[in-house]
Amino acid sequence: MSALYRTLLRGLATRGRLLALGALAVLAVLLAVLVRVRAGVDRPDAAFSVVDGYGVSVLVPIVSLVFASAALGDAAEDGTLVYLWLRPVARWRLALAAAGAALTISLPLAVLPVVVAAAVAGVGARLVAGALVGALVAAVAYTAVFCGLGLRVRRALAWGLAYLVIWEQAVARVAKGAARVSISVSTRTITARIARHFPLPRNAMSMPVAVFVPCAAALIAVVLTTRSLQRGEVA
Amino acid sequence: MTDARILGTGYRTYTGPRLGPRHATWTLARHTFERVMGLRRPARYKVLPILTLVIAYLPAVAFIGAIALLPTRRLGDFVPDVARYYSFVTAALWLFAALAAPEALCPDKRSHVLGLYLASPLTRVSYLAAKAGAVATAVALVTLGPPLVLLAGESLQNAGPRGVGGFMSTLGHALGAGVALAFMFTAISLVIPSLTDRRGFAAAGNVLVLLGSAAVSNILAFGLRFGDGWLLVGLARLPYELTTRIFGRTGLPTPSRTPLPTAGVYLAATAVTAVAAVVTWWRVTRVVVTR
Amino acid sequence: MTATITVRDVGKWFGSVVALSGVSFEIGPGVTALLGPNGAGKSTLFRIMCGLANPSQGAVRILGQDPRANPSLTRHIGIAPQQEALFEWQTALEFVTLAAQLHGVGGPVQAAAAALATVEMDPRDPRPLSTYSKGMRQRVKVAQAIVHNPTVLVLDEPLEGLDPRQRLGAISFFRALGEQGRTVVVSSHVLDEVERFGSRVLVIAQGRLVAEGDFHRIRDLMDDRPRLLRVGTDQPARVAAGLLVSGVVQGARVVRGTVEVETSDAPAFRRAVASVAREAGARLTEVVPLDEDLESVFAYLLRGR
Repeated sequence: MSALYRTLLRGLATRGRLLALGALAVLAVLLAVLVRVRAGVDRPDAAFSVVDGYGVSVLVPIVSLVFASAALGDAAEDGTLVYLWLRPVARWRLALAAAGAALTISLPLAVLPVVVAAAVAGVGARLVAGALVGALVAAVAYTAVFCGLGLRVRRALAWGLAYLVIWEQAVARVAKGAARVSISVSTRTITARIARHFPLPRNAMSMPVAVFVPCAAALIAVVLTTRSLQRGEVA
Repeated sequence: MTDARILGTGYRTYTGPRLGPRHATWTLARHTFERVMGLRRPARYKVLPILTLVIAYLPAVAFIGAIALLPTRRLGDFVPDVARYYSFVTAALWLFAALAAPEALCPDKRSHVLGLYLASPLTRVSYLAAKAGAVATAVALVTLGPPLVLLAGESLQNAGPRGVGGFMSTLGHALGAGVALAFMFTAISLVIPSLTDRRGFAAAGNVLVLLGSAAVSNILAFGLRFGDGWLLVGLARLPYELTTRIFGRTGLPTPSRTPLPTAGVYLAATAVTAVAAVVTWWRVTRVVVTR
Repeated sequence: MTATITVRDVGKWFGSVVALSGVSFEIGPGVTALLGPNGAGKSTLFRIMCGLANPSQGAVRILGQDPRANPSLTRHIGIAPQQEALFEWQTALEFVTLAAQLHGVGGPVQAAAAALATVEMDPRDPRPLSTYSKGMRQRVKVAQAIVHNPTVLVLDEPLEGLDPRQRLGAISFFRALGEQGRTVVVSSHVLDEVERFGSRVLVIAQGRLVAEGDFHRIRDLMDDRPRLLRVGTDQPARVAAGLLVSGVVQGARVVRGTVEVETSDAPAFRRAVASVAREAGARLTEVVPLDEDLESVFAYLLRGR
């Protein structure tokens, strides 16, 4: 499995992706530095908007989407998936290796900057803890879901963006029912509840539900990806 | 006894009229528009364009229905007038532009068809004009259509602007706002696709620019109090501020509680559009076509 | 012949497009060539045979087992698919080593180096696969297909992109694999070279199996088509006239100083041609069949499709 994982990882880590998304990661830390040094601001409020408004809402989902949808998606699209699939390797290993490879890049590129930003902003350990757990859960959930999406659907990036922009940014912020199945609302709830004294996102749920939804989504996604690999047609 | 002729077999040259560069540009624009909207392609390519169109038009249709079915006094502030409609369609508008522009520019580079286009009467500038025109037309379906539909529906039910003067004024504002938004969205959404040949990556980049700039501008203006001007960096807010100014209204709330200066809004909108257009033009005229 | 690959009544359709219909055959050890025009369904059939796609109907068995139900069966299968894309950032050795590792081959790096050497590639080449030409990629694909010593080898257009010397090398290599007792299935358009693989062919056209077996025998079975032969002689017109009068040929043409005849009774013709020549006072220099080769058989089978 490590050979699979290393191959998939090397395929994902292209220069263009790393540079462009790395710049955004750096931006998160820069904003946190500004929060720290700027006088006369409500620092906790500003720090939270960096962690929640930029980090968990924008940076983590987009970075996860770009790498997870490409993990199996690129190979499926150009036909090289056959060199991984027509091997005596259990399908769940392939699914996990792909998700693991994508996560290996998302963690330093998205989760770590958010945590560093929370630490740099200097408003207390609770925000750092909230940032860590929230961003981590978000990265895992988005990675698992978009990995499967990349395998099954041809224009996975476009569909993933549609999901992020329409469902998570618009619908789930308005409709309570939709919020319950939104990874964004769940993970932002986790961040806010751990950090305490910060405003909860609209349509926030209880902590147990907020943890359950993304974890269940991740698990179901991995199972479905494995089944797709077992059944699917490989070029 | 009629004369016999042999008309010739094999290769024959074309001796008919040549329609020239303008026709070539128009043909490319039309073809690109069809491609972006998923026309003449399998059903799955139509799903996202149709979905975004539905999201854009649905509120207008719903509001017209509400006006028809509910008594006026109970409508109150529920149904927006045309000026405030634009906030409802922001998500659809951005998604549409984010996906349409990469669809227009990236496949030509990825499949190396750009060289074939440039071997025809098209020049790089006319190529770009055709592409931008097609994307702008598609975007205008979302920026012009729904507000005009809402205006028509409201007016037909006597819930619209008062008098002919009021109607014409609102119509003019709606047309102006729709066209301005179409220009702006087209220019901004073409920048990243001009930099890459991967369609999905360009679309992700566009969405990232939208969401990221919104988050960053809010942090800079509200959180860090660097000044209201930073709100204009937020590309989700700038179009909305622009449309309210065109309709002669005040804009969204700001940290300092004074509205953003109108001149500043116009300047920012023009500057963003111009810079984006220049970057795109510079990239397209420089892209390497042959290997 | 014990069958290694059994295909029974396989059909495959995509919506309303039928790619394969009612295909049944058995393949055993040795080299079998799969022939057919573009769009005939060869690649689809290959994918189904390897378990990469599900047949809409029918069954495939490799070594008696269903390849889709049994991923461990892939230990015995090697495929070199048609598409060019590889893991572009890897070197040839890394690519083939990955295949060896995933197959659980002991000493994967050495096995990969040996496989590359077999296809005349340098295992120590540090250049990434993105710089490789089509022919080099082809050979790397074959190397990854053989590195784990499979019993069944499926090669989709393996001669494409190879120069003539490389083609001859590849053909003799595949023949050797077949002679070792492996089951090698090759698809190709290069008919005159496919003849050199061996004589067993499967001909597919428009999704249906049109003929199978030794292509010489296939030709023999086509007795509704008269044979074409060329007779070299110093008196072509007289020999042609004599043959027509003797009634053993349906037609005779003088072409560039030789006589081309059509006959539906080749043995009778062979008995008659010498005496006809003697009566005409002509000397015979050659009697050569013109349509015994694979290309002609192929053309006959596909005529009208």
